[in-house]
Amino acid sequence: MLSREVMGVACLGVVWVTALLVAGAAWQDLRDLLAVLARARRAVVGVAETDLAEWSVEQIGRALDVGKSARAIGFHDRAFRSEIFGGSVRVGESLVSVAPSTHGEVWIDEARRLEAVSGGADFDAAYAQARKAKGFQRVVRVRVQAGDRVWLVGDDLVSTLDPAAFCRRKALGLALFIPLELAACAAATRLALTLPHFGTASIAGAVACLAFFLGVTPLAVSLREGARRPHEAFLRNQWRAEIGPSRAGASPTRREKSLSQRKTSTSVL
Amino acid sequence: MYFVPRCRNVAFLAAACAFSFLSAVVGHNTLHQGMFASKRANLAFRYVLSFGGLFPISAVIPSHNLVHHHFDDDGQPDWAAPSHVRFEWNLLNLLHFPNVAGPLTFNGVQRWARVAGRADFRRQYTRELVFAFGLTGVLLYFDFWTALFFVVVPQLWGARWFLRINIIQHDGCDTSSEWNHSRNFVGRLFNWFMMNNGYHTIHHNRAGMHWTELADAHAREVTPRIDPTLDEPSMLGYLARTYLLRYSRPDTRNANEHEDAAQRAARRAEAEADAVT
Repeated sequence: MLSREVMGVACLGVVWVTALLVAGAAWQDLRDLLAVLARARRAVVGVAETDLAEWSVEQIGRALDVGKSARAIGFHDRAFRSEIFGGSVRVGESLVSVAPSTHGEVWIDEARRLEAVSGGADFDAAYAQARKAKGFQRVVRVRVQAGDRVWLVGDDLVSTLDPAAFCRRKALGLALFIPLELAACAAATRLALTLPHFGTASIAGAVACLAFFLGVTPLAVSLREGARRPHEAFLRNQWRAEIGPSRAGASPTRREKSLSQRKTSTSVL
Repeated sequence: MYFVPRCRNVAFLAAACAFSFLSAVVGHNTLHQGMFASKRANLAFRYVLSFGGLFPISAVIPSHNLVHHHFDDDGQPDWAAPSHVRFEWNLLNLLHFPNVAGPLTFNGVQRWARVAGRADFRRQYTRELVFAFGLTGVLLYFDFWTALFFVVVPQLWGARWFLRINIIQHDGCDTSSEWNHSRNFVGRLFNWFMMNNGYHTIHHNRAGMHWTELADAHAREVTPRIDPTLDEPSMLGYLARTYLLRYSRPDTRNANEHEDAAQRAARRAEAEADAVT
């Protein structure tokens, strides 16, 4: 006979093993970010003298069901590419040369990435393609151009954002997640063990443990995806057009509307 | 176990866990090839299977049939790729795998389902979700602890081991290879219980083949071509050897290194011809 006590302890054991595994995996991501941060602290900051690098993402857009008041294309990021052309960066009075590389990382700040995906094509034509089986295919490119402020980390990372600040911000999120996640598990466990065992408060604790078990892993995965380095961070953007007499035409979503024009180049294949 | 207290013992719990896992295996088979002639009966059966694993079984269509069978989400990794976990102690990879593959799968299914023209899928998926969680919720309401221990635990066991099968059958394999992308478990007793799902290479290469034909097809098409070490006689032996008796993760083999495109095309044509006859 399996008593409630035996099953309860076994279930709490499973919940705790899961909590520790999730914490361990988050620690791996944190450790990777800290390694990049250690390098990024030695970054050289300057102004590109030439077109220095390019980041691109190959996307496929498919028509989405978003109701009758709008049409939308949802984009799937198929492949990210970073290419460092090589060139020179002015740092104060001196010039730092950058070697070409196809294996490096090109980090573009989010504002530029969003701006790059926000236009460049006729929505109706794109939507017609997006409704077909092959979808609407395009390559979004953002080039690090002459005059741009850049951070150089070693010879394999060119960035238009402060890489150390990026790593610190993401590392902080992961570093907070680990103790908070374990604390949430401890709180749910404490509630589940409330006397009398298997009473009403204990049931609430068991529900909390089950909710934790089912909810912590999506949260951890979402945090992990959010901490992807910018050269391979998902865009998964939408392009939306309202349907209506006064609002015909396409409009970009998210923060795209508010972005001012910057020196980027976008091409749509 | 829910209704008869005397059944609340280790043997019945183990059986419930096994049946939950098998309900997901049946779900996998029926979503490749429906069990019933009636479409309505197939859709209705999915509710039962969804309750068995506490997840909408229709999720298998995008996650398994459309993504996993290609080892690729249109340029991005399979949602259930073994590479999503990376502990040095390999046992932790086996334990942790569902914690990553599960959310990635359901996120991917949500994205896939939003595409225009998939309203029927969304409706069915939602109904399965409501049925599975609704019925489980009702059981929890009437007898919380019994439902938690003897219904929810087996459901989660089945769903999570169903996900773990992905790492067991593909970790260390060369997914770019025509024949060496999967690990097979060829024990006859195992495959009797598992409805021939141990023959995974032939299942990947011929997804529409009925499960009863997989053993013969494996012997005919796969055995002469596959790296023989990928035909494991026993899953329990493999699990013990790979996750309990060693600490580190085995290297990814590159059994495909001597293959070339022309040979692969020739073999594929030969296999196709064999299948027709």
